[in-house]
Amino acid sequence: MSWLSNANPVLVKELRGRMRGARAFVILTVFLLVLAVPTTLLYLTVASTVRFDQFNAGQTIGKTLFLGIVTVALIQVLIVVPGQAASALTSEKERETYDLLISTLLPPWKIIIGKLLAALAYALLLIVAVIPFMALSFFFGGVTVLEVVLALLGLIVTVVLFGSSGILWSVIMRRSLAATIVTQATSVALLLGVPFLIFVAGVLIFRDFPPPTWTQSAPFMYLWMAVLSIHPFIALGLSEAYLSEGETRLFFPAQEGPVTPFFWFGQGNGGGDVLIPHPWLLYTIEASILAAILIMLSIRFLRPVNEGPGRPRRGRGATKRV
Amino acid sequence: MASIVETRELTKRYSSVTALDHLNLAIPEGAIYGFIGPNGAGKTTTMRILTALLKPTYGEAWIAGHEVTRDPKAIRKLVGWMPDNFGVYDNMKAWEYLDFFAASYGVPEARRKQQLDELLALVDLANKRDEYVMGLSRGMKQRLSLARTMAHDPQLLILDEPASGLDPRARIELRELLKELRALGKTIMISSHILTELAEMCTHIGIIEAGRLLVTGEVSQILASLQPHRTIEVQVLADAERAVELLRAVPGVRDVRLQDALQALPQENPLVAEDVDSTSRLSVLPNVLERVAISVDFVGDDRDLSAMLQQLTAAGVPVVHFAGQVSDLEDIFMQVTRGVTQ
Repeated sequence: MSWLSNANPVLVKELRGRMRGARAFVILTVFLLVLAVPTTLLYLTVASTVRFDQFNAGQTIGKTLFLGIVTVALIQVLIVVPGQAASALTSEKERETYDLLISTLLPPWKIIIGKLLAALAYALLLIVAVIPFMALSFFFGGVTVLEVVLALLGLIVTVVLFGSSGILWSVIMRRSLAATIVTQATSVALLLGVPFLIFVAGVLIFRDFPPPTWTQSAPFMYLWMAVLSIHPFIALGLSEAYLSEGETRLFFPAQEGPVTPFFWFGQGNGGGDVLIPHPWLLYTIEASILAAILIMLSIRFLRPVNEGPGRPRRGRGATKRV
Repeated sequence: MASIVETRELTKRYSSVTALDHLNLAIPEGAIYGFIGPNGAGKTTTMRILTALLKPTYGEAWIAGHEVTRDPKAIRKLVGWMPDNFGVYDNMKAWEYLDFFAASYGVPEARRKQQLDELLALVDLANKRDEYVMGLSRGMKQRLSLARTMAHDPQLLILDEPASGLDPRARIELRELLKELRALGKTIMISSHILTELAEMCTHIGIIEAGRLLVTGEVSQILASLQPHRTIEVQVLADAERAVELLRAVPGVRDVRLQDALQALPQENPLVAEDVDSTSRLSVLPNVLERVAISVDFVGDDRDLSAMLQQLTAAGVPVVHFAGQVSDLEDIFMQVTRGVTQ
């Protein structure tokens, strides 16, 4: 780990700190248990309702398990990772090591990236631990490799975004508890607030049928898709729906016209007017941009000297020189 | 001697509170500079400005020619800073703690490995190399913290209350360690409330109160400048009244004060005086309690002093002690400060 220590000492310190002691393994165990229980219940439920003499019974079970596992894993990392990231800098403040850290020669970006990567490395461990569960779906079929890859990508992008949010609050706040609460509140605001706003906007925009003509234009379609794809569950859910329809292209043709219902774009059957980016692609881009902004803000606020520049002024001192 | 630290009109205001008020400070290279002042005087603020953690409202500060606000990176290379608290990382061993900070200061890996053991040996923690920092005693943590400040081999060490909370043995060990560091060519700026400790190791001092530097310079020069006369302590076994009359007639004597017997307990054995109650003192030190002390403020030279002693003995006054009182940092501190806080 010496090369890593040279590259980013904060990352090495954090990884050592996180992986020592029982906490990391307890969280991992609880994470897997929480994943295992609904997966088992889901299997039992689906298995009891599916008729095994049907041609695609296995596929139905596989697909249902896969979606269930990804959803539960996504919810879990959204709880664990921002919470861990939120204490990254506040724990330094509470231990009174913050000033020591920022008075070293480490540039602020290295400290922030080190802290973020340490939180993400742990998240990655959780995500890797999910893979065997996903492999269960393959026993039953109905899930493609592309779907698994996109699900993992979605999980990773989500932890980067919400981890970055945790880091920013950790830089701003003084106490871990406060930072964790604000970070979780931010997550809840995004996860519940965005769908609510989309719903309200959708109802207002699409209340008449046919909807206004401007909603059938290409710019609005791009904008609406971008808004829908800012939410991880909506973006990944829509992606899965399009993939199930056989749409695997990064940009697929959609017909210019009404969006019905207001979250579904009619596919152009090869002859559509507008090329729409796949929701997972939009989500990846949007989440990456948002995460980059949050990281830059964290770096900005980490600077120890954040007051105005000193202005030298001539005057008489009070010193008595001996 | 060239100054490694220099401040000019350094001022720091927090809304309506002036933490530092036109501070002009100079610390010569190789000095151990004691920065003394009551709580809230501005010591930590000054130190934080000098470590580039805080910007002054106005004024300037230089370390080895680098202005702190313009060149913080250079300042961090030059300065090893130890705050008044010891921050501990959970689950970190002593060597890992030093290695982390050395790496954070850009010390190459090859040098780190060698330097680590040297630093631990320097602070006498070589046998604690693989111990967790959390498990070390407070004194050991302070020494480890001192080793941390040395991790990047800085020219200047800024130590904020390094001895606070330490037991007497740990304090003595820390003091010896600081002397050793000075011998290695380091300049040390140290703040402390324990003035007697600073007096034993500081070459220079600065006394700050309510953000103003009241006095700064070499300890010996400050002592000389603040003492317009010498104070001689005379202890007699009897005839104290007559001794006072005789002393008042000596040329150069400005004032003579008669002290009671208890105050005349010998200073060279204070533990005996403090450790026994007043009743047992009588039985333990019967001969000492017969003494009466007289303080004499005197402006003459050594010849006049000798004549003074001769007059007393010639008059048959039983003198058992005749010595000049040595002022220390506590005297200076009490003399120049007024107990003002922010």
